[in-house]
Amino acid sequence: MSTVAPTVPTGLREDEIQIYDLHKSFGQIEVLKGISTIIRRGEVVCVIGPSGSGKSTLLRCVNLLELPTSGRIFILNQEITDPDAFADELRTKMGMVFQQFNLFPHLTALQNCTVAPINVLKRDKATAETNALKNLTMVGLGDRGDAYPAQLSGGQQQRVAIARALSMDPELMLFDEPTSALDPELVGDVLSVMRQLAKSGMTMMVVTHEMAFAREVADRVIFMDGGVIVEEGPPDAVIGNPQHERTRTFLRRVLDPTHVDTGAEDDAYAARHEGLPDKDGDGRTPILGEGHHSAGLGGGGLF
Amino acid sequence: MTATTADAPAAKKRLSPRKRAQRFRIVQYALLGVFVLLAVLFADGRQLVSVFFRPDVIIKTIGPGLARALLNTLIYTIGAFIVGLLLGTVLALMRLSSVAVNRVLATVYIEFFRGVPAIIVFMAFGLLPLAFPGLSIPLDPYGTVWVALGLVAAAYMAETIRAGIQAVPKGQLEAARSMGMPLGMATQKIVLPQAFRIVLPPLTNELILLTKDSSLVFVLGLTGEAYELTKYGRELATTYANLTPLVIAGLTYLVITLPLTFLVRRMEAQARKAR
Ligand SMILES: Nc1ncnc2c1ncn2[C@@H]1O[C@H](COP(=O)(O)OP(=O)(O)OP(=O)(O)O)[C@@H](O)[C@H]1O
Ligand SMILES: [Mg+2]
Repeated sequence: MSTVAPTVPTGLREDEIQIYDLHKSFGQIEVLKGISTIIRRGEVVCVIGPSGSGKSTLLRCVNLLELPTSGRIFILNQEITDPDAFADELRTKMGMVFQQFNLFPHLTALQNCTVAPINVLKRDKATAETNALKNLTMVGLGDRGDAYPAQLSGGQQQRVAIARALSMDPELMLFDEPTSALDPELVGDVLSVMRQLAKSGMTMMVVTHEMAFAREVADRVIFMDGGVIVEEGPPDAVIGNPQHERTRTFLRRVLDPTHVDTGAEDDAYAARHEGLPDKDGDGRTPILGEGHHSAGLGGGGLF
Repeated sequence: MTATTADAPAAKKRLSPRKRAQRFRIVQYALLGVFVLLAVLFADGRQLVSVFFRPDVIIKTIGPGLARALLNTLIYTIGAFIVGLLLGTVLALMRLSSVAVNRVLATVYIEFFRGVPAIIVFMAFGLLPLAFPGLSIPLDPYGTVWVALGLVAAAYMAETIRAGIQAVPKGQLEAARSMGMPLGMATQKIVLPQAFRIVLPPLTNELILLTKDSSLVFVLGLTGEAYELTKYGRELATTYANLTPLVIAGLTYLVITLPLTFLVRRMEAQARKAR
């Protein structure tokens, strides 16, 4: 751990996400084993790491889709892990983009972008639609507002999902492998939207396997393995010159174009994602089992 | 492939699946022919007609009374369906609640009303005013029928709706919650619309069953104006000491159920295509 984060809230306005000693267990399995980090306003942080290392869990704890077992998380200096916190209100300030898009299939692209602003933020329909259209245009889909998700390609759906999150006018954005479920030729469009968003000064926490993107766009890269932050720092340091053997092993796998995910790794990946117990019967938890650390490239599109 | 050539002599004795299916078909047609022949030989056509399709009774049965009864059946069914749908949705949400008390209450309700014969529920319902003097359900007799039939329908519909809610991917709720929607709003705006789309075919099936179950409400002791199809048919059948009115009443149910069945088929075919 290259940076030692403080253990109490900083109270600084620029510190938009503060995570202190976050632990999360599912039953007996401890997935996050003490994560601490601070993400400042306008910072773009990419979280990388092998499959099962807890990246998604970390992201989902930040907006309380998963309830942490212990530790404290502050969003815009309000503690979201406080039992008295109004989590729904804090969530309106964070957009989240999912690997599987999760667009609402019964609503058009435009309605996907207006349903929450109208119902949660109590905006009137016209205002919400103007804003939604602005965001759809920003992601290059200003003319597809009337389309239903099923009528859009995966890449277009993911861009609508980004526009949907932006339509809440969030202060920060969380991305969980936004391009992993996409066909390779559709990845570029989504990444360029994210690049544009980063340039506009949005605070972003991005779980990704796109190393080139992380290198280019991130202000900071966090490498996670086995539920802890192994290494973090500027992308040129973490990706270009990693200090830890685990980071090097991981990067070798991800960056080596000749590396092909084996079926066994895919199975382990799928089993983890369905929350099934590890099937190899070695009695160890999936996150600890050596040989299960697939880079997860090609593991997308599970549903 | 090589094994087939070696087994050739044995294969000759065995019938190929296609030949077998052909023989089986022939046997079935032959059996059907025998039954038709027996029916023609032994049944007395004139007797049959006079018991089940007596022309003068048909004429007397088909009239304003029948239309009224059909209308009543429709009113009872649709009202009960609405009650069942609302209560069923509440029960389904209770079954999925994180509060244990809700789950237990809903389970007890559902298992009770699914396990007890509907006719007994209706009989008990008919006696409610005895148990609670002064109790009056508004819109009598319609209100009483809607509630009685709806209470039973809700138990069945709850399970269907629960399955529909569970069929909506978890990511839908998460996406809604991640934008700050409270659980209730996310359920109402995002989950339920999708769940109902999924259960539209099975719910229509429930409607068909409910149409037929509405024939049981006679035990509530309805008067002439409130007769539904079955009661109407029975009354006339007694009057004319002839089964024809019941046959007509029975066939009239098909006016409601056949289009619904057709609708379900189409919805299911469409759902298959969409997949
Ligand atoms: N709801 C859950 N119930 C039980 N175990 C879970 C649950 N969610 C995640 N896990 C487990 O937590 C571990 C970390 O999962 P997580 O999804 O956070 O990993 P990840 O780093 O995002 O991996 P990937 O790159 O494959 O997405 C895995 O072993 C997984 O099986
Ligand atoms: Mg993940």
